[in-house]
Amino acid sequence: MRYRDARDFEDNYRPAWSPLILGCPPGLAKKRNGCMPPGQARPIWGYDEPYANWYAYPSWYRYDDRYDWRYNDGYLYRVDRTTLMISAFLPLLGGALYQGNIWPSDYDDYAVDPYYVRYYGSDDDYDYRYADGAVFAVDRRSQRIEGIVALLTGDRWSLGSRLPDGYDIYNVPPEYRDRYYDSDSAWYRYSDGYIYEIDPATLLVRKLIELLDNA
Amino acid sequence: MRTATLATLVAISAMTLFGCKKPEQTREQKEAAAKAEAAVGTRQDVYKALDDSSDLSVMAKLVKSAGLEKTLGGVGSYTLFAPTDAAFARLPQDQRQLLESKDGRPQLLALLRQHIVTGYIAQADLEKGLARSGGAASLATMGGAPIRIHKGQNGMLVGQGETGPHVTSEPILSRNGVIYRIDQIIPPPTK
Repeated sequence: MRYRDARDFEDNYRPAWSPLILGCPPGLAKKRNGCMPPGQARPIWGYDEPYANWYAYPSWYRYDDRYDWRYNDGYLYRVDRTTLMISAFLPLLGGALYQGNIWPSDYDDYAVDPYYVRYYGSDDDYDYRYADGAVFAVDRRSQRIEGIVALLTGDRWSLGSRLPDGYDIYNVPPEYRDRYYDSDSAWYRYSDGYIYEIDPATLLVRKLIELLDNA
Repeated sequence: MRTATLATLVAISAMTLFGCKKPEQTREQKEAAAKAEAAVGTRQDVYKALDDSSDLSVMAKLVKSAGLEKTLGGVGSYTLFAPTDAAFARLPQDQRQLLESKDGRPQLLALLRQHIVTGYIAQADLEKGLARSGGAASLATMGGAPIRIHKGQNGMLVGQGETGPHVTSEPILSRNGVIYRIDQIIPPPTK
């Protein structure tokens, strides 16, 4: 069952929210009220070493009083602190989502925006799929993950909304700089395969520009 | 999902017989790459530029281990804040071993994503942007949280204060990205 994903938003397909899957992860026996995390699943927070908490970045599994989060064998488990049962799970980039692995069967509806297939993709032998902030090339026949073709910020952009945090500085790729450069009347910012035109006075997004056709 | 065509099946058969083929760029992608090469003056992609830098060999190795070669060698545009080999050497040994292990790969990806910023940010862009915004700016990363960059007493730094990772030298330009060497790993967030 899909928890929520980018297609729930008006700007279509952009991954703004978690693709958590509700239910029991593959390989875990389901009991009446869900499933228990395996004994070797380890917590992702609470380490003393400053460099041991790297999992904490993606916002969809930030620290939450209701849930504990545990990692085991490529999957992150969301564990209800009250029942101690797994309530949702997430295949992680670098874990279950890694080249050579078979695409997780629960992720059967994560096709990407056709524009992204055209922008990042290049090979008709592959399906291009989105999960955990990345676009993957997946072999159509074997369902094997062949590689990560793009990493995405997942930042939400839509016409009329404010420039997201993190775009203070001009960052347009070189091949588009002769057309899209900052001036007193317009700023341009690149994000996840698009260029956005910004009103410098209000910092509102004024226009979305698809690339490739405009190089 | 698109239905596999006869041509696709033939291609798959050819792959089986002759091994994995290298994906070809589309005409549009080739044109964009050629224009980028002309603008920057190099054909190197950001992964190759990283791999060719003698003091960034650990970062290059970790990027490869993370499966990000295609990502950084593709059409997307990225700016890397790349810890030098000396910066990685200062990590506790058990942490470095974890990042190099299969079990630690999700952590490695999380670490790397926080060092990769979206888009192409040349040094002049950084300086101009920092001047306009009062000496500090926020950069969107692939890791879910922006990083802050600011001008300190001894150059540009990531994070707050004067003790964070410093940008140590001129950036490396490639056709699809820019690499800034930094002297520490960007620390993970606190919950």
